[in-house]
Amino acid sequence: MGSGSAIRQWDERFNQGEHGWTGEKQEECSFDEMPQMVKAFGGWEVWKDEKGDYTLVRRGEVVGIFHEAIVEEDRVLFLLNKGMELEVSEKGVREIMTPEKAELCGMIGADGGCRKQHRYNEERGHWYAYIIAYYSEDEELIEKYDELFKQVYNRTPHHYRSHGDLIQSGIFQRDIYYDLEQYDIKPAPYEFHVPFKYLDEEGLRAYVRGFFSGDGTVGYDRNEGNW
Amino acid sequence: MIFQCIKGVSYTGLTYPNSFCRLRVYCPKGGKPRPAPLQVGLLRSKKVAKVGFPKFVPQVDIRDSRSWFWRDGVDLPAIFAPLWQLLADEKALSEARSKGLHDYLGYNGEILLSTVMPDEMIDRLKTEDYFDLIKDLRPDAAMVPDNYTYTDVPLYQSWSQTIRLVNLANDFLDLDIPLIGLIKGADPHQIRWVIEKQVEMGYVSFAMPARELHREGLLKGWLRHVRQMLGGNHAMNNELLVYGVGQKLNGETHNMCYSNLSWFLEAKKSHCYKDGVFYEIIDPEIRYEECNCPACKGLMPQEIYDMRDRESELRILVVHNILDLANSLSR
Repeated sequence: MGSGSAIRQWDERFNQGEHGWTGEKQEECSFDEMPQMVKAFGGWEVWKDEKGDYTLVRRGEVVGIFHEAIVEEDRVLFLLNKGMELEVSEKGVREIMTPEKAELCGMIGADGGCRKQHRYNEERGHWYAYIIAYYSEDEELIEKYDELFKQVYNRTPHHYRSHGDLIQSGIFQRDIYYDLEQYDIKPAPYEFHVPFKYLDEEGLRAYVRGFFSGDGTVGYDRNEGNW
Repeated sequence: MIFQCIKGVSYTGLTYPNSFCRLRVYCPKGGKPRPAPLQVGLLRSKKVAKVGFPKFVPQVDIRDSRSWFWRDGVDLPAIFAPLWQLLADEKALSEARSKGLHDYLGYNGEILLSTVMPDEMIDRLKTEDYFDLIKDLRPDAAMVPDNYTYTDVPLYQSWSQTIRLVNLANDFLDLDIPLIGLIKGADPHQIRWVIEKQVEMGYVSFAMPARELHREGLLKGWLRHVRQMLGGNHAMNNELLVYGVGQKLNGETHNMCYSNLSWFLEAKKSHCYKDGVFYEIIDPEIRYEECNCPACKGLMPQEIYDMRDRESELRILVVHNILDLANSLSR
């Protein structure tokens, strides 16, 4: 199947394996196998080698090798890219969002957008612009959004000012658009969808925090006598 | 790639290539010894039957019957059936092997077997495996086995793969069905060599997997080169099919055929083709334009979207897209 760039194809086929520039090589490649089991859940096992790398094994086959893992009592979390974690527990394996990504999705669900627009010009022909944006008049919120975006995608959005004090913090990036689009967080204008499937308890809290940063409030209704 | 690796590109996640990096044999940091170079076998020659590609040969997703367009009354003369999808699904493979592809798919047109497949599968199959599969699946024509030729890995690898392709094309001459030669290479030298050898062996129908080359902006230049080679070698008796590109290419592309699965993949993303270009279904450019194709029957994309029924939308878009693409690529 392969032609063109191997690096690019590798990235596209396995988007969890996106390469990142580390500046200096930290360690020599080693092809030696590893000992020491850290956890076992059902058919899944987590092993740690002497270099500190974690190997996830299912029925004797290596599924992946990770530099970092968070080992908790009832689960192990492996950090993937684009703000995702692989959760391995008795219930099996699933991908969940980091709290930062969950909060970012909450903010976009409330006051943001994730859309593509058809464009045309003579030189380039037909093409699509992929836009991920957050809108607010509050500079503090914009700063918070930028910070989360940077943590999750390692990119800094641009700021555009149009109507009055409204600031748009936006970025044109296809891979990020498709990453967010799969969770369907913003099905249509004025609609939102909570990606429950990808949220653990901490993620849910973060999502709600992000969402209420934009829309809504919680308060006590004196007339009704309830919250 | 090795250079970057030494300089410090690290991979994390499921694909961290510590244990399965394909470039290990070239790695100066503890790789295995490099194998001896492959040799080109004694090449034979035979008059290979011409496939006679229609202008558009849709690929189908064997594992997803929603792409089996003939069930919706669309009549196209040929399809490409990807072998790798069967290999990835044991149950489907055993059923297809026992019934043959025609009965398995329920398709009466020509079934061309595509061997374009993920690299790890390419490495697993030998000539005998292909022969057994072709014997059981009974396609009307088959591609010679695929290879991988990347532009950013050591040329040793792409040349090994290119020589392997030519050797396998030589073995495939034992088959008694029309065969499709493959045009692949990491640079114009390899492309030239692989075409020359296959033409010498008697191949006249060629497919050029071009998805990545198109995306990386290499296709146009290389295609010109390929067309010159094919035209010059055989007095235009050869036929060429561009495989994996979802739109008509600009420039000198007459007498060129296309094959892709874009019509189905885009339908799954709620994209709607118009004159060979896909749009989002609610794109202002097309959303209020009535379409009178047999699938839309006068509906506007907006009305299809308003159905809010994902399955009905998909069924309409699948048929609409394939008809539009067949029409625009045939012009």
